[in-house]
Amino acid sequence: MTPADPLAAQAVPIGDRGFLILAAFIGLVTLCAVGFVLASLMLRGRNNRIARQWAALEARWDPVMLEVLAGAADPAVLHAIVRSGEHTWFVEYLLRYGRRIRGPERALLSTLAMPYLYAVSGDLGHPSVERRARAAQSVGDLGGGAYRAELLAALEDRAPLVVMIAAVALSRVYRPDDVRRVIGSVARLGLLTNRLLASMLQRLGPESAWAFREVLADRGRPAKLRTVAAKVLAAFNDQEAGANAVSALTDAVDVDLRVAILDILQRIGSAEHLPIVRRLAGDPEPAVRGAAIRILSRAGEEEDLDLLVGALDDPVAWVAIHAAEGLRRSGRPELLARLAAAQQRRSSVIVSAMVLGDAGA
Amino acid sequence: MSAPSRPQDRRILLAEDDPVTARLVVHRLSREPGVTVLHAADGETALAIARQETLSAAILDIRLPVFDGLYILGALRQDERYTRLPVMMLTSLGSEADVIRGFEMGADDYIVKPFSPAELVARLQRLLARR
Repeated sequence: MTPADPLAAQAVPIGDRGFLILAAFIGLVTLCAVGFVLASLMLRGRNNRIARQWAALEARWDPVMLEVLAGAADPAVLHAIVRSGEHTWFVEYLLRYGRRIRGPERALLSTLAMPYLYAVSGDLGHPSVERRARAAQSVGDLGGGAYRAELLAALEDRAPLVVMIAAVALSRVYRPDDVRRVIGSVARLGLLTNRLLASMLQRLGPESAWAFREVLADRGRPAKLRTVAAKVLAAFNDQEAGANAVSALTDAVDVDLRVAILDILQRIGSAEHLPIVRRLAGDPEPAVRGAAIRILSRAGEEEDLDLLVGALDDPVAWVAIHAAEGLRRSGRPELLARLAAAQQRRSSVIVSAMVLGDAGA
Repeated sequence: MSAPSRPQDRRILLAEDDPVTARLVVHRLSREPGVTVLHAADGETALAIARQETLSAAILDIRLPVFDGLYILGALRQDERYTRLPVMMLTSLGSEADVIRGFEMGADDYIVKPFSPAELVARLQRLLARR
């Protein structure tokens, strides 16, 4: 290469170019590693600072707090040692106790928190989801119903987490007027499973069953919400849900909804509900068919035996298992034995049912 | 049980790994005249305390590091000093199976978390008075 050759001056031999790329890659990886280490150190430092701060606050507050909870000191004594700038920490501190105690001491925590909750409730409008969720939790857990209006407003929050916390908090300070709004808000928590939503709403208690029956009967409501309502009614063993269940079954299309309604009938159903259950025992959806066969296997009548025998050949194994269990429960072991010996496709299922029956399972 | 019978001389074992719960129980019980609370944050320490001390009662959390509360209960019941020791289990809501197991293994009472410290003291006093 000579300086007189401009092309040669710009050219970098292949080996050198490879070296440069390798060096750049190693440099980048090193930079990332250093950045990661620095970020970890900073995070650790921050966590240590927070832990130290908590230790200092607990050392100052705990002796008085424990005396207050034991009824040996006035709440004002504790308030006197909470400095300005520590209000949010103090509410968080009270929440820690709140998760562990109930009874009269729990009510005392609300008294202790009350002077500081107003400031915390301001965070319900904070841009950070985490802050809004924390605020909803604080006023919900410690507000004792005083922040009902704020919690109802939080039901309209754009973040599902905040909605969920507000709904749970409102279920603790139950008022009949709130039930419809709480249930309605849950419709927006589409990402959560039906089971989780139902378990959340069960906190409203059986006295709120009327509102769930209302949702189940409303064909204009989303199928998911009606499914959740059906699950809650089933969990309540709501004796008045039978008519709503049958009515909803007549035109419901959604599989989960139909299975949830059948679950209600399994718990509270009677002979008058059997005709629709029999019809669904031939449904093309295995989950619906299985739920119907399960009901017939437990509460079916003499005329359902043929249906159960037919279900032994169901292409879905667990539908056949429910049918076999029903036949076992029918007190006709000789029928099961005959079927098991007939080399049917489901002989093994029948034999299993017989064995389980013999074992008292 | 060779535990002291005078109400002024009672040593209560508390096996509880949650520091806030432990502080609550220790503080509340220590206010009772003559009561000394021996706190262990794990099952191994709890058993060591039980071996070294003469206990009047035990409060055992079920979920504990090293050995759980049910294991400690079993070990206590095998020790002839503690066959009649009043034992109260602390359990979380929803763990009924543990409660049943605890009773089968000889627990005298159980209290569900979250709990009222005042109720815990009252129930423990009742157990101590019965023995």
